[in-house]
Order: sequence, then structure tokens, then C-alpha cells
Amino acid sequence: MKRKRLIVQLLLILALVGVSVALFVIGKGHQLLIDNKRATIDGKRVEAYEWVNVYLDGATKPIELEEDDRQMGKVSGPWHNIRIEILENEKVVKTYERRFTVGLANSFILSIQKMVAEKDDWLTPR
Amino acid sequence: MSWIQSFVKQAGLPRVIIGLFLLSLFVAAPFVGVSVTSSINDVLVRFGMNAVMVLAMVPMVQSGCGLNFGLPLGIIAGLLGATLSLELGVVGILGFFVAVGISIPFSIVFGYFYGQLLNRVKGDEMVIATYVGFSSVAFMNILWLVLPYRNPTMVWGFSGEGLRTTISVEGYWLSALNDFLSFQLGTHIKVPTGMFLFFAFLCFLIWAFFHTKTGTAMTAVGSNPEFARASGVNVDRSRTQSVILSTVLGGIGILVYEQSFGFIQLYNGPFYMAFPAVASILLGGASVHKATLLNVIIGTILFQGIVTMTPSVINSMIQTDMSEVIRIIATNGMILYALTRKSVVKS
Amino acid sequence: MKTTKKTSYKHFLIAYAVPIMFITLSIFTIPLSGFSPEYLIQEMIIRLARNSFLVLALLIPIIAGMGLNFGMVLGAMAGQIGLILITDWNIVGIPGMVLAMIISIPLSTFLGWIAGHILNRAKGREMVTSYILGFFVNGIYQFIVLYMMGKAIPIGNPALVLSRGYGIRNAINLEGIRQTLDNLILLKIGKVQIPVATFILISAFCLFIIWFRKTKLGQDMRAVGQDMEVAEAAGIPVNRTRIISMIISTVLAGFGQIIFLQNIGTLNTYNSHDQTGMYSIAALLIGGATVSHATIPNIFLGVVLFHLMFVTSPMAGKNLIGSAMLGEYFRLFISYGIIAISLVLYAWRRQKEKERARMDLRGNT
Repeated sequence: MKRKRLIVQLLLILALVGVSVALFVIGKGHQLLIDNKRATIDGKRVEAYEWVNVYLDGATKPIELEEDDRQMGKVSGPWHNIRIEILENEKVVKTYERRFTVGLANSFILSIQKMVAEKDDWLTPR
Repeated sequence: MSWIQSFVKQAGLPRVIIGLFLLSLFVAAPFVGVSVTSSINDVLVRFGMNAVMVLAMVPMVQSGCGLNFGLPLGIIAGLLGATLSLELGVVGILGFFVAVGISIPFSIVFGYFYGQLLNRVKGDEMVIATYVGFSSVAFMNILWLVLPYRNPTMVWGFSGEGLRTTISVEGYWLSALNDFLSFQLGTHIKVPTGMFLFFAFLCFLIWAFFHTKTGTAMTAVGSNPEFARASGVNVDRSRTQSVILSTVLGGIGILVYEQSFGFIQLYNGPFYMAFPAVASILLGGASVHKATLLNVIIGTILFQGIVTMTPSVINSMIQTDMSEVIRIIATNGMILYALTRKSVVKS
Repeated sequence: MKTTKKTSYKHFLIAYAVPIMFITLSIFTIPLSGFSPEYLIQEMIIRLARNSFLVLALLIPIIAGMGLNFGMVLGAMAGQIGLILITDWNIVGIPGMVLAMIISIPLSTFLGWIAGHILNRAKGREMVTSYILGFFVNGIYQFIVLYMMGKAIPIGNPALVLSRGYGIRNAINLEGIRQTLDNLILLKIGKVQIPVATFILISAFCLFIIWFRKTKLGQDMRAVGQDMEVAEAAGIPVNRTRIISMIISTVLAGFGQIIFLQNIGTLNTYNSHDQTGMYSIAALLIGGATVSHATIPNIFLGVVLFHLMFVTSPMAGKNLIGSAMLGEYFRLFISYGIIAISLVLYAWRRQKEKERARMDLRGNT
């Protein structure tokens, strides 16, 4: 009887620890420093876009980036979705969307130019 | 070995530990660049400043009213005395005694009602005393703001009314007692003779009082109220007397403190002043039920020694200012120890 | 303590003297303050959501006969340590809040366990002992937060640490979890916003307490609260029951402090817990509770009445006499005064009953 109780208690504590770990991962906040800056990709120079709207995790209001701009976005948890609109003369000319995951680092640098070029190092921990 | 054991038993383990700790602080002081003589000076002055407020614990403990957490009530009477003496503009040692003289009637009135109250809440005196003290401080906050004081050194300059939070007694009765017959001992120690003499005088009065009929009756009430009642003592009256006495001493105590400290602290100043005094007397070996003059003296020396020495020594040792934390833990730890030491008589 | 259930007019007045007094007071201060009804209603709803849980934590020790748990600040401190850690780890939103609560549980349990043991050694003077215990643990809390954190306990976020390299800053911005619970389900009626999720949580714990009172443990607690000796004779482990009641109260106080601070949005590391105990206790007493008897309606009535006074009195003071300071002091005086008066009334009544019992005893022999 006593032993059964002990096992139940241990299991409960383990479950609590498990929940804590899950909460840690789900709730972990990340900073994304989003760059719309000139970049060198495979030896080629890629210019910054005139204007970019960034929607993180289905947000309705975009983060707006001018040419050579850096803005901060905040997300929490491991799984995310990013959608960008590239604008020229106030008209959307291209949109990209992609899913991504982040680890447990606090902040990342996200290069829109590298994302459009589909390079692996578009998102790097800082 | 046995004499050590019996000494420890007699003095109580916590006192021995704290005494040794204090001693080690004094031994360590020169090695970390803290002057022993100026430390001794500090302890002497602080002892004189606080001893009367610790003494104010004795009558109530003796009559069974418990630790006087309501000390702020007495302090308020003292503050009224202090501010009124400044308003009257009497200076020097006379000014101090005028302040004492004014505080006493206030203390008696406050103490009387406070005593009446405590007689109706026997067994719960301490927690109620704490809150009576707090609410009276909060109430006085309002009064300090609206009482028609006029002395420009005391009221706020821009509005011309409402007392300042701290008022300097310089030019009135700063160090009135300290400087009386004081003498220099070496370069750093200046003995505040007057303050000690005044304390000794009060101790003598208390000692004498507890040898009068009224005083012995009070002790009897404290040690066994049923027995005291049976032998014809008016228990409630005796308790009220003790509360009045404690309140009067509290009022005088804060005046002694202020003349040395140099400032009258109004508003939230008196809020937590009961706690160091309570901790001191407990440190001196008093219990919730019994306190002697020796407890007062030993306790005040130990407590003030600790709060003077730990900041200077510990800080220079580890380069960190931990004085506040140490003071909180030591003060309340001591009170906690005393409260849990013996289980109370079953009601 | 038992009274006949004759609900006479006079009896009602005596039982609800304190709430009636406060309602009367509010009748004067509300128009004097000049606040609009909408503002006051919104303010009361915010404060109900913010404070009710803390007051809830006081109920169980009262059932167990241990009086008002002035030691609830222990739980508040445990909650704050949880909040400091999640802020350092940058865990945000509801998961962050829940994680802070989970972190606070072992701390609160440990502190509550210690408090229970200490109060068992101080039977008959639990309140003053728990009060001093609060101060004592505050010293230890300061030691940990001011000297250990950043040294022995790693704190990575430099925004939290004092410039000297260790110790937590005086004010911590809780932007990661600010009002996440309140805004989870927000209901708007006219201009008034209601944080539904917070109220759901509060009601859940009200139900928990109602359920708990009916369990074996809850019944034991009530028996212990009524008479320890009788309970002991009936085979109830008195000391253990009292310790459990302290543990539950401390854990709930920790949760309460976290809910309180997610609404405020800023943690004053060294002050936020200071007034927690006093304001919660004052609110409970204003709601008509006593040292030995408190119900759930007392909590809500008390929080509303206390905070009505709290919000209106500075403005009323300013409009009446031209000094907002006066109103501040007035509400401080009321908070302390109400605790003093309630304690006195309770002790007085108890002493009267004791005397009556003694008279009866003498009469019988």
C-alpha cells in the first residue's frame, strides 16, 4: 500500500517535471532581428528591397521594413510561420511564406535576402 | 567541562553563540581595517540611545502582558513631547526635560486606554499590540499633517503647515544628555556619561518600583493571575499600571534616542521601532513571561554590538553591504526563537 | 461560539458591523472623489481579479483555527522567485505564468512546512508568530535575491542584474506575462472590460475550497480548529493537519501573488510582497470575516469594499481638504485600524465567553 503510494507520488512529480519542460519549450520567448539589408549570396551581391512587410505567426499587422532596415519581432515557442510581402511602388510584387523552428536561444538574426534565395543560413542564432 | 555546560545552560545557548560571535567580530575587526576603539564608541552610544526603549519592555512583560509590540504608542507620546518642546523653543538640557515632562501626561493617557484595551484581550495581547501600534502611527500621520505647529524649523517651508518628516534638534537639545559630564577616553572613545546616568537613574526607579507593594503585586499578576486575584490584587488595575509605565518609558526612550541621534523622525519613522527593542530584551535572556534589568542591559549591548559590528566588519571582509539583511534576520530570528521556545499555558 | 439561529435585526447589525461601516464610509467618499461610476466599476473588477486569489489563500488556516495567516507573505515570496526565474529564462505568456506557479510549488511547500512546524510550537499565539516569521523569511529572501542570485544562482539576463554584477534589480518588468491571463478571454460590456479567464481561475479555486471542506482532511481541519484537544482525543493528527493547512495556504498565496503581479506588470523585487499580507487580511476582515470564521462571500465583499475605500479616499481627501497625502495616510490608518479593531473584537468576545464558561463551571460545582 505504502509502496503504491510512493510510486504514484513519484509519477506525479515526474509528470510535473515533464509539464515544466514542455512549458519551458512552448513558452520560451525569442527575439527575431529581421534584416532588409544588402547581402552577399554565393559571391553575388543582392540589394535590399524598397519595402517589405513581415507577418509573423499569422499576425494581422505587419512589421514594416524600409530599405536597409532592421526591426525586432517577438515570438514564443518552437514552431513558427513567416510570410513576407515585397513591395515596389506601394504594390506587392512578391510574397514568400515558410515554416521554421527555433531552438532555445534567445535571439536570432533573420535575413530576408537569404530567405528569398532559400539559403540555409537565413536564420542564425546571435 | 561541567562549568562550561552550566554556564551555557544558565546563559542560554543563543546568547552564548551571539556573544561569541560578537567577540569574534571584535577580534576580527583590526585585521580588516576596522578600528576597535571607534567601534566600542559606537556601541556605547547606541547602547545609551536604545537602552531606555528596551527598558520599556520590562513592566509589561512582568505583569504578563507579553512583549510590548505597541511601543510606537509610547514613541508617539515622546514625539509629541519633542515637537511641543521645539514649538515652545526651550533649549539645552532644560529643553530635553521639558520634552520629557510634556510626553509623560500623553503617555499616561495613551497607556491608560491601551491598558484598558489589553485587559479585554488577554492572551492575544501581542498581535493586537502590534496592530494598535501600527494604527496609532498611521493615525498620527494624519495629525502631523494637520496639527497647527508654527515653528519654521519644523513645518514644511513651502506650504507653512504640516510637520516635516525629519526635524533636526540641533540648536535645541542635541546631545543634551550625551554631553553632560562626558569625558574623552583615548582618541576615539567619548563616553556619553549623562545618557548612562539617566538610564541608570531610570533603572533604579524601576528597580525600586518593583520593590514597592504595587510593583510586587504587578509581578504576582504576571506570574500567576489566579493566585494574585485570590490574594486580593486587582489584576486589571495592575496590568493597566504596567502598560502605563511601559508607555511612559517608551516616550522617554525615544527622546533619549533623538537627543543623541539629532533628529526627530515623524510619520512612518516609529513603525518598526518596537522590533529591535523586543529583539534586544529577548537576546538579553528575557522570555515572553519574565524580564529583568540585567536582561535589558545584556540584551541591548549584544544587540547593538551585533548591528554595529556586523556591517563594518562583514562589509570590509566580503566587500558587500549585508548589514540590512543581517539585521532583519537577527532581529526577527531572535523574536521567533522566543515565541516558539515554550508552549504557552493552555487556556 | 455557537449562537442560536435567531436572525434578529440586532444580530445582523453586530455580525455585519464592519461591512456596514465601510458601506457608509463609501457613501461619503464616492461622491467626494468625483470618479465616474464607469471608472469605479472597471477599477473594482480589475481589483477583484487581481486580489481575490490572495485573499482566498487565507481561508484554510482560519478553518484550521490558526487565525489570520500573516505568514502568507512566504508564499508571495516563493511566487516572486518563480517570476524572477521565468523572466530570466524569457518564458512568456500563459506557459510562463504556469511555469512560475510550478516553480513556486516546491518553495511554498517547503516554507509552509517550516511555518507549520514553527506555529505548532507557538500554539495560542499563531498570529504574532506568523507575522514575525514573515519578517524573518523576508530577510532570507533578500539574502537570496540580493546576494545569491547572479552568484550562486545563475542569472543570464543582464537586464535583471544590478550593475555591480549580482543581485536582482529593484524593479523587474514582467512584460512577457503582463496581463496574459487577464487578456486571455476579455469580455467587453459597454466600456467595462472583464478578465473572464482570471475569474474562471478564481471560481475554480473557490470550488476547490468548497470541495475541500467536505473531504476527510477538511473535516479534520474544522475539528482541529474547534478544539485541538478534542480532535487529538478523536484520533486526528492535530499537528500534521495544521502543517498541511499552512502548506496549502502558502502554495495558494504563491499562486495569488503571481496572478496579482501579472496584472500589475511590474515586480518590485523588494517591496511587492511587503503589503500583500496586510491588504489581503484587511480586505477579508472588512468583508465581515473574523479570526475564526470566514466564508467565500466575505472575500468578494471585502475586496470590493476595501478597494472602494482605497481608490476613492486619496481623491476624496484632496477634494475635501486639498491634500492627497491626507487620503493616503487615511487609507493606511484604515487598513491597520480595521485589523486592530477586528482582532480586538474577536479577542474580547472570546474572553467574554471564557468568563461565562468559568461562571457556569463555578455555578455547577
